Amino acid sequence: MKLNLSDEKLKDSLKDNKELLVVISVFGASIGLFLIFILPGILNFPSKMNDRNMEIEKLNQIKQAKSVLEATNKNQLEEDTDLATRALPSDRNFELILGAISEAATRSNAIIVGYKFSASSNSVEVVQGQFPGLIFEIEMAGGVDQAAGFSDQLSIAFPVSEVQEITYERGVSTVIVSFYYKPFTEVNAEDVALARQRTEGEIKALEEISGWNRFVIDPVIFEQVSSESASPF
Amino acid sequence: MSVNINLVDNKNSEAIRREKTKKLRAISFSVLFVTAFLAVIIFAIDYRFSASYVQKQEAELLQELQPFSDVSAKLFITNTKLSDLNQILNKRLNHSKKVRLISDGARDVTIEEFTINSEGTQLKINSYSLSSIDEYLNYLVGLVDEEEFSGILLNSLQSNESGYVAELSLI
Repeated sequence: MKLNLSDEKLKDSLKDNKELLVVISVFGASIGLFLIFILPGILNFPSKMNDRNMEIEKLNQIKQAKSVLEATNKNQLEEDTDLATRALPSDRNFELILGAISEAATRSNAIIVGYKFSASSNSVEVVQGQFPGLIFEIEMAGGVDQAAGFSDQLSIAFPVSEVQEITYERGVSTVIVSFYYKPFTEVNAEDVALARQRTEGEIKALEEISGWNRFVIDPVIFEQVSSESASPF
Repeated sequence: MSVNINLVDNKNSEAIRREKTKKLRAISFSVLFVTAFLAVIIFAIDYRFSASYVQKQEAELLQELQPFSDVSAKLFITNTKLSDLNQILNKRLNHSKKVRLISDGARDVTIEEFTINSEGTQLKINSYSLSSIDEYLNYLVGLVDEEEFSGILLNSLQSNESGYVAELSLI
């Protein structure tokens, strides 16, 4: 069937149904608004809330960092940093290691016959977890008690060490010990938000190293010790 | 054309139609108003509760923390080091206690050779008296009973001109 509408009829029809057209247009606009603004807003709401929650977590971390930083005693922090850095140096600190050996020997009355470490990069470093270390082999006159006493003193001397082996044969005890170090972790300007309260473990570690023997490194002693030992320095 | 024969009054019909259209118009505008209002509300909620709003707050707070950057870096480094130290201290071996335990019981025997490491303890003892070796072995077995060691093994027992020599392993 062919519909033949003249312009006149169309105009009349539009005029008659003008109100209806307005209604249809308004409903159309409502549907458009719903589809463009409301529906995507509702559909994206869960993922946006997720993002927001993550950001809120970060914000809370920054707020916490702020309160920690404001409460930090700078002098105490300096002291703690010094202690922690002495206990776990950021590189191979031979001066500290020799100081620790000398101090432990003095405090345990051990007579060091000689000490050495291998210069080979393969054998010199040990790893406990992710910590590199330097292995020293220390020979001393005396029995296993002497070696145990020396080990005890070494365990409370800076830097942190771990006795790997104690051997005794023909009047000479040998203590194989690894001294640990760990390179500095890089800190960026944005890492200001990483300031946080210390964990229980960290507090415990600080308390432990605070009780370690402090010693002053005397260069004269080192000259004497190194000339008597098999050390390469 | 006569209008009188229509069953429905045209005037009434037109009025009803107008009334219906008027109602529909009112409803459509109400719907548009509600939709627009909802759209505005959703936009406001989206802005107020958006991640970017929180990020803005973060940026402002970070700006406030800039003067503390040195302290923060030092605190971060110190805490990291202390955390590492805690790991090392918790895991490190303590041979001294075991050495002392082994040594304390060796009153009438001589320790000729001794090795202690992460794999265990080996020792060679010597005595002129077999009963002294027996006494020391009982002492070591006692340490195993006290769970200081998990096991003891007598590898060899020989006699020579210097007396009796025993080789032991403690795990």
